[in-house]
Amino acid sequence: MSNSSINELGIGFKAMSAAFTGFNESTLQGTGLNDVYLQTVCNALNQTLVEELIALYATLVLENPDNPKGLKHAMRHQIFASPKWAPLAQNIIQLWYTGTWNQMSFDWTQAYGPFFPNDNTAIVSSDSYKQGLIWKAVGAHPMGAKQEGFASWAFPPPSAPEN
Amino acid sequence: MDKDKDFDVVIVGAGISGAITANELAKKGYSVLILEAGVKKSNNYQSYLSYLDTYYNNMVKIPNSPFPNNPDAPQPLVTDAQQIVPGTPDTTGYFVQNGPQPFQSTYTRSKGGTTLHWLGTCLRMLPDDFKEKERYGTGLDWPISYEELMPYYRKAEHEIGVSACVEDQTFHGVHFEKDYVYPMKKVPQSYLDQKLGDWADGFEFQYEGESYEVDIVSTPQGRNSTPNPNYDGGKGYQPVGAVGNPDLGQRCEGNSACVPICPVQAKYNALKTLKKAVETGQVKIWSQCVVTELTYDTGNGHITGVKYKKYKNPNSGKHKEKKISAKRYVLATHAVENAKIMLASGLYSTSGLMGKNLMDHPVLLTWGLAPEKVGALRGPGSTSGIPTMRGGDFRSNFSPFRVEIGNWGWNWPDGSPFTQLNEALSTGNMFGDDLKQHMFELNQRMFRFGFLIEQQPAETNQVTIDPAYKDQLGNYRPVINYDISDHEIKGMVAAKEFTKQFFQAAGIDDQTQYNPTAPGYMYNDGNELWWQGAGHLAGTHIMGTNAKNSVVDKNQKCWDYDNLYMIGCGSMPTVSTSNPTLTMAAITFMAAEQLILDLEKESILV
Ligand SMILES: Cc1cc2nc3c(=O)[nH]c(=O)nc-3n(C[C@H](O)[C@H](O)[C@H](O)COP(=O)(O)OP(=O)(O)OC[C@H]3O[C@@H](n4cnc5c(N)ncnc54)[C@H](O)[C@@H]3O)c2cc1C
Ligand code: SF4
Repeated sequence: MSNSSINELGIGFKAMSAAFTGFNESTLQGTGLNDVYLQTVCNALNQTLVEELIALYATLVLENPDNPKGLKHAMRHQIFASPKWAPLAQNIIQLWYTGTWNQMSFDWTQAYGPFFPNDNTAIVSSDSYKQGLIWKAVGAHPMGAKQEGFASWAFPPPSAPEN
Repeated sequence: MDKDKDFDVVIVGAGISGAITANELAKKGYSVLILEAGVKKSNNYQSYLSYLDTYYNNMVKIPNSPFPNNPDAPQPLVTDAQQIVPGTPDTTGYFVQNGPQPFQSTYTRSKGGTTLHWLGTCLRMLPDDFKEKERYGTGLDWPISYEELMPYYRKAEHEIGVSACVEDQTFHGVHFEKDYVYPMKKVPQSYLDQKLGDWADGFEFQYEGESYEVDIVSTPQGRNSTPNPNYDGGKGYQPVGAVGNPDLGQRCEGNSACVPICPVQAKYNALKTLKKAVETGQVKIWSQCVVTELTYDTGNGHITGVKYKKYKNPNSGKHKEKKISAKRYVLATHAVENAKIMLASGLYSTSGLMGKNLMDHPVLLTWGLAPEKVGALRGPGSTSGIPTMRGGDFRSNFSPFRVEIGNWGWNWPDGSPFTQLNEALSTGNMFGDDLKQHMFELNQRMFRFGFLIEQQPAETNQVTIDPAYKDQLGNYRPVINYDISDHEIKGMVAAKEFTKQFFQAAGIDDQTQYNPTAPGYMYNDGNELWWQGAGHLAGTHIMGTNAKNSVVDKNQKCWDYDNLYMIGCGSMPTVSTSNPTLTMAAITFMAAEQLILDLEKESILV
């Protein structure tokens, strides 16, 4: 994949990932991993599938201007209830939340592959573990990294997760 | 035979017990060789960071995950354990498990030993614990008293660098010398501890006609906090930071990964003591040397040498067999390995107790959702506990227990927060902001209790060897017979009742759920129980008052072999309800003192 196509796709991937994960685009950008993750998905499966999903999400956004409720409804029906897209979308959420790519199920691979030789479960990197959004979601910090300082644990927790 | 080197003492094992002994000997000018089974690692911080990277990149985050598996010196893993089919030994992991219950605790065979991934809880034993048989008719009595051990407790607290508050620790008869303060002030108690303290205020546990007042008390920890200026008669205490990077780790920074690895070494590990020992110039550490047996003179019962296998590369199995001799020998490879080496050498002890009385703290976990946010997954693994049920007359009836309050949500019992993410996606059908909010609300309210149940010594719980089971180097794998007694089961039942009453009083939503296929699951009289290992291996070469009732004397010298010390938790006749390492370190200082006396006496004779 060329750098320019990754850049373009990266913008779409980031917007889609924000809607999937519940974190805003600048938070995703801040991890420095958006393009790495896009590349991870493309390597594990193929670029066409990723492009299709990004395009589908972009269409849903266009069809629901200024209508977050409608967009959520459409995303649920078109993506998170789809045998093809739900497993992939959930895997992208896992990737952002935990820094781990999980191998797609056998059935899914049969149906939409039928063969992805590079699709293996793996932690992307030690950085991806530390940047896992799960820690921000639960209002904590990655176990073993980004320590919060002496006695921080004695004080009340945050009132809400980060955006 | 390595004739070029001449050592006063050979110590086997570079864990905390071996390190303390080496350092004490070296300070008196004796020359020491430590033979260590683990792979060669330099003392710089970079080499420690490689453990951290292994941890980040390891999918399975269990205590041994930062420490790569080494087929030349294998180690048990918590993931090995499973329920045992009667009559079929389970050979899945390093241990060969005969059951009936699986032994679930682990240790680390790397330089620095198991303190690389311990939690660092440093409670003293209760004075009553030393005379359990006399007082309650259960367990065994120690050949030493709490009072006799007090000066050595101080040395151990100094060496490990314990943070605690004396006033908080004076319960169940525990006492301190006038004016004693711990090296550092207590580690701040977590927000969760404070909340539980509020909710439990005035709560009393009612059990079998008795009423027990419940207090939430700060836990002494081997982790750097604020130095106490009043320590050592006003001299204060200088915290010890990371080995090779001493500015780091001067205070706990809240990395919340103490088990399996503290990134900054604010938590004590034995590399710190090893470094001091090596800096004396008197101590050599030879890594990649797996000790297999001791040789001895059948005439005078003296140990004559240590046989070991030196390997080049942990994966090849290639090695050279070697032997070395010294004036004195110390086995410090931890309970299971110590006994194994003796059995492999044909040294069974007159008492017949070699390898017997293997103990642990079966840990029963219970967990729930607090009525409001308690800030899970922040800070050290545990900063407080409940000592109420550690001591009392009920001990003649059921096992006492300590309650550990866990700061990391349900991470131990169920792998939170990852499990909740999987559930939210797969069955919760969540995404986007709903997912994030759900994870936040749920995880923020999570907490767990851990009940460390005292296990009684039983000769049938034991380590043996069998030529049918060997590792890649041809060394014996430990064969383990293990069971949980009725006394302990009764303790667990009491622990569950404690949970019920505490949760009712505090308004906690009980979420405890045990999996009937998990190792350690039991169903007893309508009670579901589930226990796991604590990593608190003890027994296997217990100390006592004579050669018939014990393997070692109170100074951990073998009754049968005058120039051999077997040190570590294996010497403890009972495990009590405190995590064992502080007490073990204290008796190690005692052993080192005696060993030095032996050597001094010998030099006068010569
Ligand atoms: C998850 C976990 C948490 C824990 N938390 C606590 C806690 O909070 N508080 C507490 O008090 N205790 C705790 N413990 C227990 C504590 O870690 C041990 O009691 C302590 O480390 C034992 O010290 P040791 O020096 O006797 O043995 P180890 O620390 O195990 O060291 C033994 C050394 O011997 C070496 N060795 C082994 N076999 C051979 C051989 N054949 N030849 C040469 N060398 C060999 C090993 O490689 C190792 O370096 C915990 C344990 C675990 C597993
Ligand atoms: S909380 Fe963090 S800094 Fe403190 S001891 Fe544990 S891992 Fe180390």
